[in-house]
Amino acid sequence: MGNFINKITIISLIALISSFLISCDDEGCIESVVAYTNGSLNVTTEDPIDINSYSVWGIGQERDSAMLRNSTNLTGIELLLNPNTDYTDLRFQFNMPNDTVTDTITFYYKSREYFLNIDCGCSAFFDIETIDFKGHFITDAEIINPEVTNEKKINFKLFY
Amino acid sequence: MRKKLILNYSIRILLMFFFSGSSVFAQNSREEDFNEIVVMQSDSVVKPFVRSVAIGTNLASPVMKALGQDHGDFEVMAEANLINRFFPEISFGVGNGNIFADNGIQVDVPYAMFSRIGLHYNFLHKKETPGIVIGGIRYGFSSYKSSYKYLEFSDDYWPSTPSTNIPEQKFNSHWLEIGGGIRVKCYKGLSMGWMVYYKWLVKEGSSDYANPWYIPGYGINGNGISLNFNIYYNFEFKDRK
Repeated sequence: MGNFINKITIISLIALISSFLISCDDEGCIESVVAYTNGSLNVTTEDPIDINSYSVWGIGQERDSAMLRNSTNLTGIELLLNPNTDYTDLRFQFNMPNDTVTDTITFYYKSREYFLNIDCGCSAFFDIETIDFKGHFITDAEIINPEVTNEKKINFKLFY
Repeated sequence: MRKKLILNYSIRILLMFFFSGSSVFAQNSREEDFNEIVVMQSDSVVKPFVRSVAIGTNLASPVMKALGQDHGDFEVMAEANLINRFFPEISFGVGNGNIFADNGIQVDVPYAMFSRIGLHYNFLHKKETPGIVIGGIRYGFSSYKSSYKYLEFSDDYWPSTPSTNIPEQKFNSHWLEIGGGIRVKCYKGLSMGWMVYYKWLVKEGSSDYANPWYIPGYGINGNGISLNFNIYYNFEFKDRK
């Protein structure tokens, strides 16, 4: 009988501790709210062009501020699409040792608000439909994964 | 032991037959016979495979809802006690939730049904105790709808989106629960106890526009622990002779 009461005491303590843990379950937002459009830059020519860095501007952005400024990450790129429209024009400026080249890339997509959770609120997710490009540097663009969410995965490839 | 008793009993029946004229002897013999029959009966009692069935409910969730919690479940559980060792359970319930978050988002989950099946094991099945210590696993399922209001998004580069609503989304979620607890007999057929469950969503069932906030029967999405305070009424089956 004493052994049984001991077991009841232990289980009751576990129950009390668990109820305390449940009441302290407010962890805040622990996931990424912003859905970045992830891409990779790929060289297609046999004689690679020497790029030092590149910058990206969103055309139509109110403050005309750079989305990326003098980024030296030549393999991966994270872009922000405008959630209020169904396309985003981006101006790419490639900085080479003795020159700069500017290209324009346009993403066409459908955007949607997505409820993540109470702490994080909502995000904007996108379904990319097409990618257009104008300029001298970029030779091709390929959609790898059209769904842009807050999970990091490659969505497109740019070739130059 | 039993053979000896039967032999003794038979001899006494025969003696009663031959000495039926003696009332005193006959009365004494009858009393002794009755006592022996009781002994024989108690020696041959067979406990039923299904010892009892119980109807119960979890009081914790409705009480917390009544105290102001933004969500809550009410469920009815039916359980069988098999050889005081295994306790299969099935439960049905309804739950709803509604929250106005600090960030302005409102989520509404209308009343929806859920169901669960499970099996518990009594770790004290060998002991005669006033209570039991049980542990087990349960599988739950719920089909429900949620609507979301006043959602805004900003990535600090493009202008914020205007406040928008996500129309009613339909979800199908199922989950597993593993837990344990105690239960004690209180008064006549009533018993009550605590159970703590750790829960894993097997399928969250997210839609194209939203994750579920609250899942009837499971609780808040992302909260993997639940504490239940269960009360049961037991219908016990008598021992067979």
